Amino acid sequence: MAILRLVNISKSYENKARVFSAKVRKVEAVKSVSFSIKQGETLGLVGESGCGKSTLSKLIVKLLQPDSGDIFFKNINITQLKEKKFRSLRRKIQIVFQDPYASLSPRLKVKEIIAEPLSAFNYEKQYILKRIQEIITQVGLNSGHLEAFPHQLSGGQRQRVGIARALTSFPELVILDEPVSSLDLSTQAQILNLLVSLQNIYKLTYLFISHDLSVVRCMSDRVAVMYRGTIVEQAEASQIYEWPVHPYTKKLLLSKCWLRTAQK
Amino acid sequence: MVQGTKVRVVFVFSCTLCPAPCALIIIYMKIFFKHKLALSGALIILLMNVLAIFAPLLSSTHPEDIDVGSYLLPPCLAHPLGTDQLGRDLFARLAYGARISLMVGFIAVGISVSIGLLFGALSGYYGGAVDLLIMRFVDIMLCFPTFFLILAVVSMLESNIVVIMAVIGLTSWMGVARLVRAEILSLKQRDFVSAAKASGVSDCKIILRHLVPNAMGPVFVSATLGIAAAILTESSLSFLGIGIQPPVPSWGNILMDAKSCLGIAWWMTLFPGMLIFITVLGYNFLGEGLRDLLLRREQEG
Repeated sequence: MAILRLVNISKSYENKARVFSAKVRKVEAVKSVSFSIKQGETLGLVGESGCGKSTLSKLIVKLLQPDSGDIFFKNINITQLKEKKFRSLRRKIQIVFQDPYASLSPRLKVKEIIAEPLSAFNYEKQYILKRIQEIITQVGLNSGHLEAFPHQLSGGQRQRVGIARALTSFPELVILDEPVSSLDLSTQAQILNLLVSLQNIYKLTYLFISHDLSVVRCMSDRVAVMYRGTIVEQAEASQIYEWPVHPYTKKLLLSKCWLRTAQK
Repeated sequence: MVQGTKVRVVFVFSCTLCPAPCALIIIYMKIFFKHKLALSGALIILLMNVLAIFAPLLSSTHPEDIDVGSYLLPPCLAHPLGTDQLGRDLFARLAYGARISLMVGFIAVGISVSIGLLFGALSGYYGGAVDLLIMRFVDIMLCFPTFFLILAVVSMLESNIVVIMAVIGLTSWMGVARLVRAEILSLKQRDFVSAAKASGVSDCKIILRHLVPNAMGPVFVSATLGIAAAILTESSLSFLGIGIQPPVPSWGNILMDAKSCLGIAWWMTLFPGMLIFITVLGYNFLGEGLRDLLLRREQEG
């Protein structure tokens, strides 16, 4: 069963070309994108920067409203839902952001940050306390970190806190918006392993967004390639790396090879 | 060396007061104590507050007591800063006046910061029509020549300390509102606000927990500078005779008393004038220092 289904989603931003001109420049960030994610699988979404990946993730968690098209979460059309009704569903769709330095509130302690998805819904204090103790050890930190402020943690630790926040409310779908691209290589591997083990514990469904093909390859069951706001190719992970069909995918894979040979 | 030990004592003191955010406070303290300007400003303000709080202990007489026969005495042993034309001790009047002047500054700014925070946060967060409405209201308020507005209002209402604090507060919140709005406009684009929104946190909580605490830095700076301005405004009002009414002393009305005997009693003008000057300078130093400190923090973090 598809947990998430996007049908012809489009979103454009309007920019005034100049201060006094009436001309409006339309930037189409996402152009009629359709795909679906099955329960428990990981869909990798790759594309160069500026191709609309992050816009897409924001559309799914309803931080943005699409211009047209529908998003179905477990067969509920969430594009039509009013914020009031959608609020209870927000627990089930969580997001991990790219930059762990910008995504944690600097004046809040780690425990307050992690508890937020629960405390927003007036859960019992006792329950929240138990839950954050549990989740903090699951993401590889210890309860001593709960009293810390984000600026006292390293980049990798902050991203762990970001992951913990996304998982406190037992989500079913987690959108990973370039979760490792601002970390160094050794930390990247640790975080990726953590994500895989958490997926097994919680039976999570991931939408893994990245521009790094090798990272996507080791994470995803299926891969969608995005280019200029549209999805140009979508296939099983092994297939797309062995037999890319679309010229853009070929180019993307080739550029990776070029880098490798240049390094040698 | 002496300063080093003093700094350490303050650290220990602050740590025992609030153990939890201790590390953060120590970082701020270290930077703060290295900043000479901010430190001297803080010391001046501390001195003035000590003068105000311990006024009854420091002065031998009550500010409204008249020492019959000793009019316009220059500074001497019995009256360290001299007496005024009614024979009242100038030091006592200045010390008690400090209470009024500092309190007016503090509470007036408290009022203006509260209003500014409220309007600025609403305007910045919701944008659109709310923003338009609030910002045009700010523009209208800014069009009034503030001092004359205060003059008019105070002369219409009965002039007492509460009215003066309220009027100064109600006419000086616009700067804070604009500042907070600008801060929140940039803060609300940040990922941690998106994360909170995506988690279903209510607007009210986002504003109170995520936005306002992070916008407080510049607000503190402008509040500190605002206190200096409020003290000046109160002094000006009292100097014009529509502020704090005699016989209750305030630095402004002591200066007004001094005006009539400017040529014969230099001490009556010099000391209250210097007090106002030094206090305002102290607040401005502290404000400038805080600005440096907070800007640097933001660049580092």
